Amino acid sequence: MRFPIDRILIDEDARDEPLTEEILGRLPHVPYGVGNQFSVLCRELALERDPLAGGKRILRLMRHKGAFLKPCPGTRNYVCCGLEILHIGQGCPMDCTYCALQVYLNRPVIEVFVNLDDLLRDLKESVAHSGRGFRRICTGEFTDSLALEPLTGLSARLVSFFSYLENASLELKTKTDFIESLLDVDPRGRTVLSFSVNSPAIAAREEFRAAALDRRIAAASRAQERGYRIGFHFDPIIPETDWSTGYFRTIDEIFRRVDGSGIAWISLGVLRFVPHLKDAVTSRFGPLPYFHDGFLSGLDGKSRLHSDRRIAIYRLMAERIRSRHKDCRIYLCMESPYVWEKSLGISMGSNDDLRTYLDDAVAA
Amino acid sequence: MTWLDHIRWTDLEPAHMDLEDRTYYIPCRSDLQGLVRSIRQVGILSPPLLQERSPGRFIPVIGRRRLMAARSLEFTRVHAGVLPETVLEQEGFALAFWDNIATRPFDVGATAVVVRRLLDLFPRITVADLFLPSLGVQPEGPRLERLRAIGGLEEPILAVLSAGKLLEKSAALMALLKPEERLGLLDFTESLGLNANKRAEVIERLFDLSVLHGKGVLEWITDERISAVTGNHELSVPERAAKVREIIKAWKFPELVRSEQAFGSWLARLPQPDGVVVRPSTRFEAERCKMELSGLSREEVERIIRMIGEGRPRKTGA
Ligand code: SF4
Repeated sequence: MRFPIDRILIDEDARDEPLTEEILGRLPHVPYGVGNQFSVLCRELALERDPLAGGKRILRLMRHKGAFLKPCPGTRNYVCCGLEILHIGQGCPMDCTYCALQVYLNRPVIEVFVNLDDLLRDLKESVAHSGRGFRRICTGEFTDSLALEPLTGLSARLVSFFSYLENASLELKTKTDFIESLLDVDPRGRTVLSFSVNSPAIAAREEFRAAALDRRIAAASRAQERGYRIGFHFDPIIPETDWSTGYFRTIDEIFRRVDGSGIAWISLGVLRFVPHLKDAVTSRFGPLPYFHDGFLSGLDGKSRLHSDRRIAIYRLMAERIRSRHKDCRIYLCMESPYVWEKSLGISMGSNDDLRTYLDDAVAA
Repeated sequence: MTWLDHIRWTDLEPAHMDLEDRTYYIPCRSDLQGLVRSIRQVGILSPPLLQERSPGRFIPVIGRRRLMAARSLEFTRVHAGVLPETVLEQEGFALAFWDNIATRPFDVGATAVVVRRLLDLFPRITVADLFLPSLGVQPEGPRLERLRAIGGLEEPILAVLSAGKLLEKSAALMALLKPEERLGLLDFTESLGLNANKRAEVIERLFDLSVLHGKGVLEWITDERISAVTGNHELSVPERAAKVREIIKAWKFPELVRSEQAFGSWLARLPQPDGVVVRPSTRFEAERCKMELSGLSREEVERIIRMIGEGRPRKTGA
């Protein structure tokens, strides 16, 4: 286990779950408590100057009582990829300065949903009974998909579960290299193992406790050898001065070590954020230059750089990627049809267009 | 509380009081003259409370402004209570707090100073449970820390904040600057006669530029393009302010300003009938434009539509 965990809180109704036992067994020296200490602890944390600093070292094991599968919170005016989120927990032990979860989640601790039977039942019913076509499902929206894998082994189970599904694929999205548990499971083409990557400088400077960039790429290469489709997410792209040098280096390194034909997709997303993230980040880390660039209020209220700048960035990134593998499936995360057309030369008029474009990468 | 038993009532000379001392300071920026007039007429009805910090040196706990008024009226003696030196600063400040909060609302500048002092004196949980509810400040979330930072700002900035001429968010940004930078920025925005919202815009943009480019705020506001405007006394203050805001906008959003200029030049080449307004897409997020037509009557709108229609090339072919 690589991330520091100082304390475990177990909700009363989660103590008898098998996954609770497993996790405790893997953290024998970490003190834990069962019962209703959670609200007291949350209040204590909330009063701290930086509740997340302490919260990221506390693990809460709990039962999730709501729906496990949710649509991705896309917004109007921008083309959404139609990914669905499998809610396995929330919070993350890593600490990226730009992380949207800093203002998105209302509890600072890391929560693991240990009622696995409910999760798998929900998933099975939803996938089996949906009239919808192919489903792309991801676990890495409210947490990192693999950050707690050494403790939970959950992703390996999910890979196995999805390997027998005809009409759905799983995407695991991570900044770790915790892939050991996955290597002995045959994904049968139904899992995309995706790595969030960045320029070497941003990865080293802004992604605290994440695996070093070359370890992520090495993990991608190993997983590919074991039959996994691979994805890469350049998100957020942070266009500092001379930004392209670092990003190109990462692109080159990816194609040096990973077979381009086995890459399901590469997504690109220039930094965008809800306006109050900037204040939250400043209060945690002090003023970070890249948050003070010329961000405008976008059509969805999020702060975005001017479309001309985003287009220029996407165009250069796409050119570089295509120069390494010309058929690489590149997509833009939450961009308008105009930006799609201008930067990638792809007509992506609607959410359905993008859904089909990405389904094609995994449905076969 | 134990302090009540230890108060000694006596007459003190205002000259022996250190009214600048900030140990128990709770700001109140309302005009002192009203209080001076009242005390001149009827004297000090409610005796102030001081603490003897060292033999013969008294600092105000409650009633600082009454003492300032008495001093300006050249009173030689004031009847006052004296707390012994042994009373803790925590107790003394709590006294001052409850005495003030009961009688007047705190503006944001006063709240910030008080929050800062409370956080210095008490554990966070005590501040949250005991004091913050009366101040209307949420203990959770970033505002508490923001107020703490603002509470350490220089008096001229706090005064402008208390007067409502500076937004809390602007003060929070100023707290992240060096003292000479923020005071320079205050003078700069004062000289342009900006209201609180425009001041907030200018402060935020200059702050952003300074962080992004690693170049201090003072360098930006003394840039020759700005100086050419601020030094141009043929322009009125509002004209100068508008030009300065334009320059700063172009620094902060160069692509946006370029897009606006290109759009404006394109539009200028077209005939522009009265009643027709053409706008670009929001933030230039698409090439799409919007044409708005307005008229005082249906007839007028019809006339405009016909005029536009006539200007349209005829359809050709079958
Ligand atoms: S790895 Fe992802 S979820 Fe974790 S802190 Fe970084 S951005 Fe947030």
